[in-house]
Amino acid sequence: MCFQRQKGKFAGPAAARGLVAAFGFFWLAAAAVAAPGLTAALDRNVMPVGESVTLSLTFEGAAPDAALTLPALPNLSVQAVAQSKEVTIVNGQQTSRVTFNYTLVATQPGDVVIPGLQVNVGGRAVVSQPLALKIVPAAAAANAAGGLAQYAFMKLIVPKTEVYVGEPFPVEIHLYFQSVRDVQMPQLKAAGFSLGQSAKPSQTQTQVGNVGYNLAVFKMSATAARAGNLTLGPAECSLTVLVPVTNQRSRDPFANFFGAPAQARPTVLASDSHVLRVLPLPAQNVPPGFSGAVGSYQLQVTAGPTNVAVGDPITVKVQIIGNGLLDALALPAQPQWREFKTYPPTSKVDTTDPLGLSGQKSFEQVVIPQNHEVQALPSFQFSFFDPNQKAYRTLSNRPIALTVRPSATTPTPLPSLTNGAPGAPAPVDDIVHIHDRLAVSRPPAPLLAQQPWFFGLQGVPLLGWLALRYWRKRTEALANNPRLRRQRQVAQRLREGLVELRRQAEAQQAEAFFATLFRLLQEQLGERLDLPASAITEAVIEERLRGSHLPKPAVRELHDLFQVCNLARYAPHKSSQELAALIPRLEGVLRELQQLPQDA
Amino acid sequence: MRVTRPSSLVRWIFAVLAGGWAATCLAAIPPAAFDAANKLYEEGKFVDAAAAYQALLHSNAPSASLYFNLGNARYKAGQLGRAIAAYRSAERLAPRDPSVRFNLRFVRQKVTGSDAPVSVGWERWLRALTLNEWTLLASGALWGCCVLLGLGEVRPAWRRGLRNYVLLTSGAAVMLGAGLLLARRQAQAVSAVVVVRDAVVRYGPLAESQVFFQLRDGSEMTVLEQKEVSSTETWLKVQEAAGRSGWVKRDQVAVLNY
Repeated sequence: MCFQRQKGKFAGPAAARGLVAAFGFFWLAAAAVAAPGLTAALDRNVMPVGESVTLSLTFEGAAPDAALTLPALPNLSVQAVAQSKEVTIVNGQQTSRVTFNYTLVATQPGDVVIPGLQVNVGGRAVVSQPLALKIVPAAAAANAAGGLAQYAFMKLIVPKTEVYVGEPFPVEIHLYFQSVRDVQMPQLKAAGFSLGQSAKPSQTQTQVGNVGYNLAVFKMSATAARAGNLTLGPAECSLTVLVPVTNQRSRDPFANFFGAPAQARPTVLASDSHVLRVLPLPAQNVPPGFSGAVGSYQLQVTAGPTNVAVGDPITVKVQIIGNGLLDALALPAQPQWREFKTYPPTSKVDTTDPLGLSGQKSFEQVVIPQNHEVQALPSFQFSFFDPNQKAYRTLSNRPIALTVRPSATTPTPLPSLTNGAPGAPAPVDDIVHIHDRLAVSRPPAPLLAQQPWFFGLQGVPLLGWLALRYWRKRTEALANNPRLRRQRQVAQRLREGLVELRRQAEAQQAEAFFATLFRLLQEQLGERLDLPASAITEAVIEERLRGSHLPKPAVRELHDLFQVCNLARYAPHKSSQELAALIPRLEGVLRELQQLPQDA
Repeated sequence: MRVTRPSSLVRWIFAVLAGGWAATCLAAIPPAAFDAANKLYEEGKFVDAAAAYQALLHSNAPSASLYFNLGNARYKAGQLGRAIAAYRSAERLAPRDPSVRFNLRFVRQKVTGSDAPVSVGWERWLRALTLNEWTLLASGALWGCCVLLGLGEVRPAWRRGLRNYVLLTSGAAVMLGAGLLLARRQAQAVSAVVVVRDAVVRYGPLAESQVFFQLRDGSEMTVLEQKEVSSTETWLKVQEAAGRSGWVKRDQVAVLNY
């Protein structure tokens, strides 16, 4: 009772705490699910003057009753607002999403930032993320073959007119159309440029003047490979334009009921070209470690472990974060790390935009301190050209303090990593150097699995286990069967006793001989009759063996042997031959007794 | 009379055996010839160095260092396919040598243009051990399991405590045995590496057969079948990584015979 009371006393607050924690968890989870969210998105980030772009404000969970009034946006005018609502039910959970689509028309070229919009929804303030939009001057659409410009045309959008060699920049190809089919991927002529990664094409709708078009946007990146005035474009696209055919003479009111008839006109659309001024990288103030990186980057360096012995590896992790050709970035050599043996680094790129121009590149390099006087890993230096600042920049971290202990053992000679002279900085983009010593390598051994001796050897433990198992089973069987155990013990004693008898007969030790003979008869009879050996007397024999299955001659012989033993107590002197002659008789009687059923 | 103690005698026997084994291995390749080949490499005579390493391989027992240096010389000479073949031979002899693995990955990256491994993870895992190492591990697990079972028979009171160890070793024996079978199957697969600039793979084993596709220098493939058209012309049916299979002339690839 007392225990129960204590248990209840203990369990009560714990259960309450558990319930509170569980409720708290579910409340937090529910709150996280139900919290309203606001997302802002533009259907494209670069647009020419005179065209429209769609700004979507999407509310998750809860939404305001009416559309927001956007703040005044420079170079843009709001033309229309549309609202849509979407309700989804998944596993009984209902979520709603309300989207307000604002059609914005570009009035002047320039860079526009749509600020983060703060809205109060359901008593909570939600804020959208700011968005950047670049408005470029209106580009004249190249005339499509056969006067099809009113049905489909293409524009090449290049947000820059001046770039540096090696500086990546985004390029967009806009395909405007009303009704087309068999559209091929546009091909951009880009002599002097290298084209990079392409993004998945997107499709939206826009208005040019008073005409609405479908707009397909193809995005890619380009990098100038040489300086000078280079022409980018035109972009060409092969497709079939469907031109509506109007029949003025038809008076049938249902002629256009299933859509106006159209004529398929295969054509190749071409955009205009752009001339870019490609500047060479400045030849002055080039940092010594500059390896050709162009962009805008930040640097993070970590190293560990920092408490090591001479010869122990330290892993240096370098993260270069920013905008530029991340794939092409290489870890520069660090001449100030001469107290360290360096190994070639491994790298991984994580991009955050579909063109692969922003994100981070992570390097991991193993360095090994060569002496215990090293106190720090010198600062890592990374130089690049920043096109925005039009200058070279060098990033570095603080030296990382190290504790380097003397090594207890002689360090293993490490393979040299370069083909250069000793002391030269190690180029990381190379194979490991040749082995200068012929290591003692074992000659290729024959396959063990194909060697019969090895195959046979595997049977040894199995056989050993099976033998031990048999031994244990036998031991347990004997332990559980005392008669069997006695039978085995008696058989053993008889074998030893007969040997003893022969020895005693030869030695003419008559007294000992008859004592042994008597004992052997007692042992065998005792075992058969399940009596102690010492309890076997002539009277017992008379009583138990009469009427048994033992043949009468054998009974007589048994009596005779007992008689001989009794007589020998008074006249023990017998010759060796006389004693030896008794042994076969004894063996005969023992054989007969062994045939006798137990408990006879 | 001086009597040698048994422990000293055992040490002496081991020293003699180890010394004899090392001497046999070292004597297999003359160090001077190896140094001469290395000198050619250091002088930038990569083609000559490769020929010297190749000659040493023809006349002596195979060595991981020799194959490794041959791979380096081939790579420096611009022979990516032959370099990969040499590194793979070195990898077979020393599967966990970091230098070999690094250089093989490096040259493969040059061929494929990406850092993605050529083979899947479990295949690389199988190659981390030699067949004999797989065999010895599986055998060790089997012996361990049987010893524990035998101990349980001798000392029945310990049987309960030993049960988890028996399960562990028997599971290990099964897993390692399966690993051995897979590793052996993998080792028995004949591979080939393209050693010409562009190997032409055709639909049939004839020069007149239609071209199916082409493989670059260093591309690795599995050999499915061999056909001798004449005494001087042999064709191999190969399957590349993407699963396409066709016939290629034997002299356009290096076959890795294990």
